Amino acid sequence: MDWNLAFLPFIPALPLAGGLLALLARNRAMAAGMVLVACLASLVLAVAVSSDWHSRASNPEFIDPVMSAGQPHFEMGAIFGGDKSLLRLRLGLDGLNAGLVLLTGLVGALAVVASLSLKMERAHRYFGWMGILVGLTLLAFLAQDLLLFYVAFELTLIPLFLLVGNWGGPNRQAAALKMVIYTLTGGLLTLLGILAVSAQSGLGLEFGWEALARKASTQMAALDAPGKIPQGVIFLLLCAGFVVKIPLVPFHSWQPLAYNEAPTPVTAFLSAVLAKLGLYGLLRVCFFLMPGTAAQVGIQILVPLAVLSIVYGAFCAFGSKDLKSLLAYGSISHLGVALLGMLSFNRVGLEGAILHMLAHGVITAGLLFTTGMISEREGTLQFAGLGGLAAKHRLLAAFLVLFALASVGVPGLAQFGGEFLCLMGYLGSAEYGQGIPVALGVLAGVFLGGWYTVTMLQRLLFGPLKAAGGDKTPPGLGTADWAVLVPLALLTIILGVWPKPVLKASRVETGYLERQVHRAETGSLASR
Amino acid sequence: MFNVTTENLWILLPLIPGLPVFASILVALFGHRLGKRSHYPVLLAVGGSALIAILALIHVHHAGNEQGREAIFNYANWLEAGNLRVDWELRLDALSAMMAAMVSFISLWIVLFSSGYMHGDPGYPRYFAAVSLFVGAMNILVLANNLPLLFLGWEGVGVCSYLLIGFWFAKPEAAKAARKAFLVTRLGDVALLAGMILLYRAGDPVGLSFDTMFSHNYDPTTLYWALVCLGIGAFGKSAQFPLHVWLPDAMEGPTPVSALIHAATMVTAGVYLLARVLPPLAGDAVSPAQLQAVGNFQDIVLVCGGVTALLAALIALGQTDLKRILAYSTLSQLGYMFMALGVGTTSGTTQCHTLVSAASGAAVFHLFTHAFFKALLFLSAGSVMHAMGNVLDLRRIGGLRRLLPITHIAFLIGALALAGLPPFSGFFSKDGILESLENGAHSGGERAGLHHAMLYLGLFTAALTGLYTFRAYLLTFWGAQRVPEEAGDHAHESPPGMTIPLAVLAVPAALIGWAVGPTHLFADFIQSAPGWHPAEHHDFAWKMAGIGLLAAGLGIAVAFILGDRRPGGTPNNLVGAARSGFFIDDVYSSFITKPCEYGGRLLNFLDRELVDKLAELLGRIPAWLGDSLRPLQNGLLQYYALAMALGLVVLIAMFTLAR
Repeated sequence: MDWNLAFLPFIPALPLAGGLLALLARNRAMAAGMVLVACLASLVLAVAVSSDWHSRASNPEFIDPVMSAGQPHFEMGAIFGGDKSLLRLRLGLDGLNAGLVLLTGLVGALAVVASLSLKMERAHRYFGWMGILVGLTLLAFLAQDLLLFYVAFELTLIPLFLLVGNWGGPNRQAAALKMVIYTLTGGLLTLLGILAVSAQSGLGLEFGWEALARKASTQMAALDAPGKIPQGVIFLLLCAGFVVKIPLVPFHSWQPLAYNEAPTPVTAFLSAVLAKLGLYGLLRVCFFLMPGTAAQVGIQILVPLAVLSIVYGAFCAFGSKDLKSLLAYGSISHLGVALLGMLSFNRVGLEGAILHMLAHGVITAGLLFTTGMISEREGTLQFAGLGGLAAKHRLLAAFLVLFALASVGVPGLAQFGGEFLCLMGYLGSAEYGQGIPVALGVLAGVFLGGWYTVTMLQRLLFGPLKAAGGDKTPPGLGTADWAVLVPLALLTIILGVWPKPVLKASRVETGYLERQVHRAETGSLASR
Repeated sequence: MFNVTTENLWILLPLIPGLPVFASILVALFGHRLGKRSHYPVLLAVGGSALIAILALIHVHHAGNEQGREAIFNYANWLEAGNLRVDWELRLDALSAMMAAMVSFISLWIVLFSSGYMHGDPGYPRYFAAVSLFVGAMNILVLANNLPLLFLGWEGVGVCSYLLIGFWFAKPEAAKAARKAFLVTRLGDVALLAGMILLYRAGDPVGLSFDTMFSHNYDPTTLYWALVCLGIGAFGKSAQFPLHVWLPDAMEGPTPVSALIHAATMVTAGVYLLARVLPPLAGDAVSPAQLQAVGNFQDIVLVCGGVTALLAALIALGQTDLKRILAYSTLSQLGYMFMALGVGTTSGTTQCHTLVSAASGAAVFHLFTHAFFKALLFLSAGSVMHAMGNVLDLRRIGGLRRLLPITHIAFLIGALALAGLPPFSGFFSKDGILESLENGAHSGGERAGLHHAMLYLGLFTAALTGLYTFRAYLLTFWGAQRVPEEAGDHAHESPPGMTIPLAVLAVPAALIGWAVGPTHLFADFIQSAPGWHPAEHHDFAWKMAGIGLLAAGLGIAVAFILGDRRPGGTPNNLVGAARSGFFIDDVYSSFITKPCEYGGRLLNFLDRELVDKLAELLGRIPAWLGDSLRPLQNGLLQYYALAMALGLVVLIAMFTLAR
């Protein structure tokens, strides 16, 4: 085992441990300090391990054995149930999760920093659950095993539930409950799907990604016989949990409320990272496991849902009365584009989708952290009560304009590359019959995206000053505010100008999926 | 002195956009320290890029044979995924060299003018950071060697324009105008994006690069729609009918910005795009069907250009604000350029190529001269505005020739060029466009009739141009002296920082058309760009020039007859319609803006009140079924969390035992 692989388990373990310790801590400062140090240490480790991985992976001769002999990964046999255990701690970095692990580490650490100034009770617990949430999310991304992934994926709900339910806005309990019921229902359906896969593929209890991908795609097809559950049904069951998590319209109605009620740093983590967990799950579990089915059912069902999300989300964002719900609906709309890129099943769209996810994570985190700072200073986020803030909060306004323009997809900033490649990937290869309505919907969504974002800037920042917090000029940004906004702003620019490392990192995995789908399509044509 | 050579070009070329971008970052980060000195880094950077761009232009001109006149430099990979590869790639050829030199040169003088005009504004550093970024983005736009990189510059100038129109953001009209400009041009940008997707679909594998794009055998239908999409993008950026509504409102920005962005440079990007695409496409059209597709597209360009030229000239007549008159005249002149871009024929590839190259050359020539004289006119208006306490209403100012002698002469030169009187620059370039329209009309083929109609429309518009230009000139500078009270003690000639740029720009506005037009210098140079048909030398066509001159003269004569009769307070129906821009804004408002806004509000409401409630209803069903479990629902979050954790443990245990 490579030396750096030995560090892998520490990446999720550090924030988890920090969080657990913080739950027991005596005071706020200690708890916050522990979680922050743990998250930062985990981020440093993640950067070190993934840069080593990246330098190997970007070697042109590195043909990942993906799915032929297995990516090098950390494995610790049994953690539950002895030698032939089911739940193994199999962790690894590959082209699909490397960027997302870094994003989680970064946004997690920044969310802790942004929470430092929140006014709340039982703050040590808040920081504790925050650390646990970050750790579990890292575990989910790093998992190289379906069952471990699923368990971590579901477990993230607990800290999230407590964070929203205890420290959220006035309507927090309803929001937390609704979120949990929604996600848990979706998650259980996904579990049914997993059971069906395990029962029908003949794989039994082998849940490693490569083993699954290797066998499932060949054996599932052969087993599509009468008396078995149709593959389309299994595929949709698998998708359920992830579709709710992203969320896609019409399974989204938990999200605006949860975004609104959650403390803003938690909303940032929710939107920047946990929504990506849904997309990642869709790609890693549903598409890699059943590429042939994904290409058929995905195009019949998921493409319309993606387009619906893009347009519907944009319209709802347009009609929003406050900043946070505008960003919530906007997120639904933007993530629809990433999903569309994935559904192209070619490298252009898939690599674009991965870039899009990272870019959206960075930008939406920036937008929401800025939002949090505005709400801290003004006490409200209602458009009706605010206006002309650019005169009062000059620096915050500058950051907000930067992130907003980035989210609109201005080239040279992060979002453009991903959006462009997703559209090129999908619309460049779709059949005319489906391509034209999809194109019209998506392009309308892209235009509306510009519309509601620029309208938001106009209402909030420009015009005569109207501020709930009075019109005296407050002190500028604090150290913590700079520490949160600067890295995100820099990343927004760097990812826009030089997205190559991200795009290159996933070429092996995306190429594999492209070939698998192609093979499945030509295979089914031949058998017809 | 150092020279641009083929060897050092690769490092010098990126400096043309690079220096202003760098200066912009510098000023943005350290503006609070630089304060009143914020314009120095920008002046230095833009001056540097103007110098390099002019040297590069000379280099291209001396490069001799056609091959040496194109240089492409690939710096790094930008976006690469699958079979799509987009690079940071710049090209230098006759067209891009001319554009870069023109943009940087005019920018330099406008930056100098701004340092006087914006003096004392609290946003001084912010202004120069945005202007500098604009110069960088515009240079990327013209030097880009592929469509996505051009798009980067394209959206970059849009963003800078947005920031600068809304520069005085506390004014609600400015904030509104900024948003409108951003959105209307963005409608075009989305179309441009669609055009790129279509070209990519149609089989261009290597990142939509200008050196490989045109030699493809495109499917005619796809080509047609791709061109239509690119065209809509161009219409949006260059404010052509029906996407012209943003430009007049954009005059809310500081006047030097109107001069630079909304008259001389950014709004010509659409003309540049079509001039970049059409001549090589016409030359490489391999099948009659492709030629037909290009022709069908050019019909749209011709009509939209013609409609804009006429409509904007009519609206300009009804305006009472000097800056708005100039804004509508920009629309109208851009319409002329688009008319020229629409000239072509479907009767034969070679004939079409010759015709399209010559006409696009005329369009670019008008772009070139227009940039100088319109920048001059706007800066003169800015100088008037500076003296008159920001009042430009022709009902309240007048007779300023004694108060502002330098501004008066500068404006007069600009007006003569705009109206198209010889030997001022506008005369030669407008004549070139009318001549191309005439050539198109005599080329035979099915498109000739439309060319004829547009020729008459162009001549009529030339008369209107003379009329509104000289009416504005006479009302501003002649008659009894009127100075509004807002002027205070400011009512005197502007400082040298503002008058020097006026003097400098007046020279090319007056003479450059005469220097490079009849001598064929410009046409020879531009049409040596790769993919263009070399220019053919004809004798100066006195007939068309004479008719054009007659039309302009008629218009000017009417302006003199009307003399000092100022526009009244309550206009009659026709003038009122023209003053309000023929109600096109209201059409947009009631058919697009309002429905979208109401739709958004309605959907948002329905989403919260209907979709969400339905989902909740569904969620209740299990609760009704499991009413017996009610005691477990005690509302304590911690219990729910514990239950979830327990559930998972049980699940894992089941799995383990199931083996």
